[in-house]
Amino acid sequence: PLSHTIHRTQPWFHGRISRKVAHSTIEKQGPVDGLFLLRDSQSNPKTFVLTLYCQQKIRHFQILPSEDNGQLVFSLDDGNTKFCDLIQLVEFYLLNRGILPCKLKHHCSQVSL
Amino acid sequence: EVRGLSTQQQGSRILRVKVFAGIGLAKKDILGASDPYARVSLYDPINGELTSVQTKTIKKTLDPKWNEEFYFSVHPKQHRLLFEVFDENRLTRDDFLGQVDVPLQYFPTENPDLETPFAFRDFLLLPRSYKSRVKGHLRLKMTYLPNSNGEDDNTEESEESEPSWEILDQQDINVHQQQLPLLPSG
Repeated sequence: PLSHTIHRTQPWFHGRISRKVAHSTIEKQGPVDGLFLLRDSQSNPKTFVLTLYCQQKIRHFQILPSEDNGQLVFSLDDGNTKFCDLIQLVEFYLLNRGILPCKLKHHCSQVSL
Repeated sequence: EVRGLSTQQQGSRILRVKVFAGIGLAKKDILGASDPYARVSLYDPINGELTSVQTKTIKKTLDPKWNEEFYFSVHPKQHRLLFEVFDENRLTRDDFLGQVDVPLQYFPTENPDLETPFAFRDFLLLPRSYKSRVKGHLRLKMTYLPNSNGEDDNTEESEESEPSWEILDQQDINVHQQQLPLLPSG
């Protein structure tokens, strides 16, 4: 479905990069609280990961898809807060902290190797 | 007039939603009071739900005070908000306690120069089917943040006059190709 691919063109979506690469990408552009990127999970297909720098720490949050009344939704807090796609998720956490240690603020740009 | 085109997503605004309290909710449990929480869903009547978020559950009350605040990036003429109140049950399905469904284009914009610009409003909780037995009110406050360029201080008027560019972004997902909105500081 569209909701699984719509984020691919977004500047904050880094695709299939490893946790290690995500770390170094953040480190290279940090340290700023709220620096973030999203990526495909390498261990768990169809799930995504938010990598966020906050308070001198890089943290990874799993974004899990699930079904909600026949509609696909994404959540990083066990379904308490749900989104129809990753663009909505990013827009929400730019404005609300929710369970995150801080709000999203700046996205990492993609560095071509 | 190109203001708002460059840094913001075309036509989108930031809506501050404060969910204060439920007042005089229907009693569903035979023993004791309910454990109410509210779910706030941003949706597009054509494309369905975009984002939904839940308040904390307040135990054993028919007058819960949540005092929780959420921010949504919305298209005022296109999106709506649905508030649903439920009684949280551990073993069975949560009981429906009523809903409020509102369009977004009529809310005022906050004026940072005024101390108390706009108070809350109590919305009547409505049933969602003939079977729902609901009662009471939901106390809410919804206001737009001033436009993020910081210069725009005339507010409701600019909302009502329809700038022609706003219609463009309703047609397809081009709106998502735009850069994410820069946040106003503070």
